[in-house]
Amino acid sequence: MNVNDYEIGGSRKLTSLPRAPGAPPRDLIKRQGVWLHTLISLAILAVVALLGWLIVMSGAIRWQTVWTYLFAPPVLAGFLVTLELTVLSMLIGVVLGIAAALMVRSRVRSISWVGKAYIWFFRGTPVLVQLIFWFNMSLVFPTIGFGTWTLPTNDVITPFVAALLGLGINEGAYMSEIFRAGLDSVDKGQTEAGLASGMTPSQVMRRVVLPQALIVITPPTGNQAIGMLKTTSLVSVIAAQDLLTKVQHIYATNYQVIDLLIVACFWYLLATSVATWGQSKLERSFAGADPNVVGTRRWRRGRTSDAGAGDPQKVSDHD
Amino acid sequence: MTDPILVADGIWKSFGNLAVLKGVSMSVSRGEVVALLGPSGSGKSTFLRCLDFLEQPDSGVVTLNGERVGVIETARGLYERKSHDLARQRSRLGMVFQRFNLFGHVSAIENVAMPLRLVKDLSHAEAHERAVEILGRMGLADHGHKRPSQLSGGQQQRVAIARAVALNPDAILFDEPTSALDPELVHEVLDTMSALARDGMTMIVVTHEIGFAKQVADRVVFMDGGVILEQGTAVDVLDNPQNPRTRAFLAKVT
Repeated sequence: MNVNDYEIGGSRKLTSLPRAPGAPPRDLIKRQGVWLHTLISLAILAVVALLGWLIVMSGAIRWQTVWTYLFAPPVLAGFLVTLELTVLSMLIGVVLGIAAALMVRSRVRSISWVGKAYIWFFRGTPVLVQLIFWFNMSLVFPTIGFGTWTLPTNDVITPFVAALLGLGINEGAYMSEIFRAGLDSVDKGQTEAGLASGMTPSQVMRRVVLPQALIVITPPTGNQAIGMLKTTSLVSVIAAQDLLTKVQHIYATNYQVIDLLIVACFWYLLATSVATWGQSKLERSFAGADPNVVGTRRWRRGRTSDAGAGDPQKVSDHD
Repeated sequence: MTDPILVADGIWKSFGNLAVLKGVSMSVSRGEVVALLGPSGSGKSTFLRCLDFLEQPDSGVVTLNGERVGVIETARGLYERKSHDLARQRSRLGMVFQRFNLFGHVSAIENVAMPLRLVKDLSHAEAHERAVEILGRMGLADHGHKRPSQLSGGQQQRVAIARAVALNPDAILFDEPTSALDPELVHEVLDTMSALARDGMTMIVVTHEIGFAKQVADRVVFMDGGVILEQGTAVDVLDNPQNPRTRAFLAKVT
């Protein structure tokens, strides 16, 4: 489209940038001290190769075992639970995070206080402790419900549910800070313009402020999701059947600890790599000093005004 | 000019220890164009914002079409209006800001159409049609699909005016609408405003554009130190100022 595409794409070489007609070829400017860079690279390569050689030759890793368990059904099942926990607890975290961020901004002081207390408590205690807490909830409330609708707590709060509650509620406290920063990043004039147009405060929040805050909120949320992929391994202490739990169960019987941890690392790395790739794609679509020019347009293609003046149906989403 | 549409009576407003407005009163008739002049810090913008209840006056009464803005009087005292009620009142009063304040995430058309859908309950198609029509009237037919960041300052401000006009308000308040513009873009915004005035729109304009005040305003009001010092026809106030502070101010800006 224009020069922006090149800056944002980043992968194109400087010399291939479009040149104004009639302009002379670009000057070729060479780097100095290239031999030093080469030397440093070679030294790093040697150290890495040596470390690799030592690990492989130590015999501690039985690659055959790694291979055997890499696609073993319990490992794959555990990986699936890890993914489920990540997605679901992030969803809980986002919902609670929006709620807490809005509560903190409330004019009603008691509501604001509840939001602040939530953030204070769940950011102030270790998530591992919180997980064990949820897991042992039956010690505080042996049954849940009222009247004839009563169930034993341990039937309701299974290890998976305890993991979800622990991770999700903890994440909400962190997400609320991300949302707060995002909402604060939207210029106050946007709110005033919305109010002056006769929109109610909640319409202004939903239709004007939140959509723009999202641009600021999305990258750190991706970061949190990638962190969550790894944080889920904590739920192995309450045997929530995630990837680490499964791997631990296997090495508890065959004692091939390192090999199975490598299996676990393979799947964690695969998931975080895919997530990182997705995040960088998302961020690139938000990139640029002015988020309104390139990023959001690409991101919202088909949703908003890019459809142009001719098609009223595509101009905006519904309220 | 005997039909008062927007009336402010004895407006006081302080920020901390600083009294910005010290009992400002003004009555604006239907179709009247009032230019509000004064040095920076004189309280012009704060006064304008009090009329729309973006700032809550410490005391004083603002009425729009005889209805108190922002508060309800009862036997037990004053009560804040519910948010949807205040929103309904604000929809009767347009506001154009110095920094345009267009919604940054949507197109020019959508900037105009969104309030029409949310506030006037128009359908998507109706709101879109009306937005296109009004932007066309403002000379922005080719720019409707663009984002605010892709428009010049003058174009942005004209979209902002279109957004205010689209709601068909009883009056439009302009808060230094040309102060943030490059000099060569000022005239296009002033032309748009002049056209609005000719169409009979009731307007209160905080401005430093003496020429505009002279040509378009039915009444010029000079404010300083939180009070109105002088008002009258453009000829009276601008060509024959009585108050020494008005004279000093006009000597500086012209």
